[in-house]
Amino acid sequence: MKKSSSRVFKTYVLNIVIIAAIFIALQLMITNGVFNSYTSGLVVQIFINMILTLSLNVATGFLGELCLGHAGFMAIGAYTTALLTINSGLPVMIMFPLGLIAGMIISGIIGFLVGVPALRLKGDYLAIITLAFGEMISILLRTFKFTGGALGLNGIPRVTSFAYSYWCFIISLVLIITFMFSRHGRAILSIREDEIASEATGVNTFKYKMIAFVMSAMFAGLAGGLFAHFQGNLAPEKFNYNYSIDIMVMVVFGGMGSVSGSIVSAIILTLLPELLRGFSEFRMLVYAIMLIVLMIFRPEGMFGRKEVTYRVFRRFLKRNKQNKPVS
Amino acid sequence: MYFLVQLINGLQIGSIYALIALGYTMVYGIIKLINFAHGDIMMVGAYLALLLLNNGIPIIPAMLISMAGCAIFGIIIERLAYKPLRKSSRLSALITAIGVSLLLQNAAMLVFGSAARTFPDLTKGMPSFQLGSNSVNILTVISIVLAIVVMIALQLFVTRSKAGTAMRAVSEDTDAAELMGINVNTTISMTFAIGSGLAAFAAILFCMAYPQVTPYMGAMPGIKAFIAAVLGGIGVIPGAMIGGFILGVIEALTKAYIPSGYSALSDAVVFAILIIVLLVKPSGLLGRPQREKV
Amino acid sequence: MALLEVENLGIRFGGLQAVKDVSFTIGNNEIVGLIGPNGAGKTTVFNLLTNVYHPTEGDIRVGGVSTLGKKQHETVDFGLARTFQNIRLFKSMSVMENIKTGFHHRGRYSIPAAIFRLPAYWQEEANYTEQAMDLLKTFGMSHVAEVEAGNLPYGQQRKLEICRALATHPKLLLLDEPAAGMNATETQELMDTIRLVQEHFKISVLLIEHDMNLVMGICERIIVLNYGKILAKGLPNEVRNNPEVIGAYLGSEGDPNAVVS
Repeated sequence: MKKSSSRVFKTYVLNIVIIAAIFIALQLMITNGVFNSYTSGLVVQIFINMILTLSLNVATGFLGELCLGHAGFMAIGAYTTALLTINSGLPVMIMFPLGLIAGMIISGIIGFLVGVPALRLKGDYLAIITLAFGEMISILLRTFKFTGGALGLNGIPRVTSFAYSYWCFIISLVLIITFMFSRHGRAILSIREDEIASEATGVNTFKYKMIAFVMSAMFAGLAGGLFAHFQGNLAPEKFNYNYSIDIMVMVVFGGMGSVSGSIVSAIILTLLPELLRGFSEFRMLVYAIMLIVLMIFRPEGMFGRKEVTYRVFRRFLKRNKQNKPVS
Repeated sequence: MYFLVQLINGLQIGSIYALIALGYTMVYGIIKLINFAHGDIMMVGAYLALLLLNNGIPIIPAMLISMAGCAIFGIIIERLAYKPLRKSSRLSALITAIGVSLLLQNAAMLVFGSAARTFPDLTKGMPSFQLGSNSVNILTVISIVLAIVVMIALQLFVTRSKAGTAMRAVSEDTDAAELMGINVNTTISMTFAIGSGLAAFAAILFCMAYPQVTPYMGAMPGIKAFIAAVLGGIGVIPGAMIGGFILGVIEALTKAYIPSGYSALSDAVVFAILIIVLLVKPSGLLGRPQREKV
Repeated sequence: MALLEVENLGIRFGGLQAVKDVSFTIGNNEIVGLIGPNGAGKTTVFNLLTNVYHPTEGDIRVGGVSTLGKKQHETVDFGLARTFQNIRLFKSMSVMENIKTGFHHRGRYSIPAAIFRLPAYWQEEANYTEQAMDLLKTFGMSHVAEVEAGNLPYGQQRKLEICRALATHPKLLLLDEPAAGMNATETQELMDTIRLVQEHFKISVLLIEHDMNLVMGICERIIVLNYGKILAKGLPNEVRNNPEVIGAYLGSEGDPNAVVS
């Protein structure tokens, strides 16, 4: 017991050091102009996409349900946060964090309302009904007056800094990991593995499906709020099913059910179109071909369900040490 | 009379949705794949027909060549992209289909450019008749009738012919069908060929109604047709037809009667109907309920 | 009071009466066999006991309390746990995690306790690990604790499914054809496992089985089902020599030993 708790403590310290180090390194590069404004914008986008990918991974990777309406939940978070910062009259610096929380809550509530009927279905049918709900949300945003109709929202304060996106990502990451490595997380995984056995083992499968679904929607809402205040404007047609599919592609590309996979894939798939910019008109073509090739040769995604952990590193180092005398 | 004209419009759109939905439903029935690239095959069919027509080939041969071209194209896509994934998870296959869809759209953009091209007006010179204050071209009626004829032929093919029986056998149980001596690969290829050919046919009907050809023209009808397939019961051929017509009529009528400022809501109505049907009868109007055995 | 009382149980699917007038009781710490030809309704009875289906007639009581109208996942709260005909494990989770999922329904710590890693989380999880390890040791499987369940050999998969069911702390374990697909040696091992369950955990076992050597070898009582109705009940020897049972299995009267082999 003693030994394991000291190891837990060590890992905690190590985690905090790494998280802080990455933050300081990136922040320094941005403030010292190593990254120009375009590159630092890209960094923010990467962190937003990581939150988005992680959030969908909860519903699709861990719970195992194919959701094709994720952009809808993101849109709800984005509009909620933006409408609050624009109309509340409070200073943006106070309203923005509150707005993000409000965005998460409203997304979660809508997630719950969608989940009640949708989670009664399975597999492809669930995919279709989430797609339909996602489209409905996008259409309604286009129709309502208070959401700016087809023109969308403009003049949203652009306050999503690198620090905001980074710490929101870290919070999401930690919450999702700690949640998944608990009895509640196990219950969700067991549903993915075999719903009938899970129910027979005493898991209230509907409740846990709902928890995973609502969580997924909430973090998508958070990503949406950050996105709105990064872009400075919102166009309702952005949040259509194509965007949901883009997010799904990031999840599958990284590996369904792998947190590490989601992170790496969000980085690669955000950077890739930018790196391919030199090929301008060919870039989407290359993107499409890469996607097909990856699926054919590695259908489980880059990471499958595996994770990059300290244990993997230790094992890797050990193996290298053992190999050294031989080579 | 206005209602009747809108009804005819609805049937016209519906027949297009139904034809595309058939491809979705047949492919889904046989390999349980939502072929997201199906709408884009329709786009390819439209470009093919456009090229042929612009080179002075008359409409009927142009249509047949375009259908044959798309059929071959469908087989190639299945062999290259979907066949390697037959044993892996359904989701990887779905993502591949999305990849193929992106590939087709962007390839079309490179080859033909992103600007819309105008499809020749086929109704020119054809007689039309008056319904109240609106005129309806005879070609609209012909296209609806033609679509229905094709669908009946397909239904007969699937239920009566040997190849059709093989198709149904593979969709029931691929392994058992293989053991009974059915060539599964050929049967799947045939399914893709028929589905893609029907998509090309739908493309021409679509271009009669909306004479514009763009690289993204397949996306929206694709989604609608997919909804139609689910509405009727995915995997069930008559279901796709009924679903397509219902969807087309509802869409035309809501578009006609909804205040003009809210035209986007007509799509919302379509999605709302889908949601209601899925909740009341998850397997669709004509689908058989499936229950996992404990 | 009997552990399980089943009274005039019946269910109708559309026009088909799958189970009718089934009554039996199971006492404490006994092994009972549920046998019958294919399609007799054995698994349906299991599904009724575990609330997968809800009976259209009759009553099921565990320790005197009716389980009617309860949800599927609440069956384990009554002390009923089951395995499946076609093994249903959480294949890509480790053996350990499979068992820990069995502890879930008695778990106490909340979601906030999990995400903020409060002491309740650490205590309970440590507890789970210890208990799961004990369980695995009892069945000689502690060496595979970290193996993915789907990678286990067939016999161990069956065993793990039983372990997972035991992790829910049942009073009655329902085994659906545990020996299906096993060879003679594996079946022998399974019989030892089932006896171990009875002796070590002091619980009762109700098992569906076609392997008559296993049924006759370990069951103290046998219930025979045919066409959804109880055909016979009694000690193994009584059932074995019951002409109606023999008739049901062979379609006519015949050599009583034919049933056994």
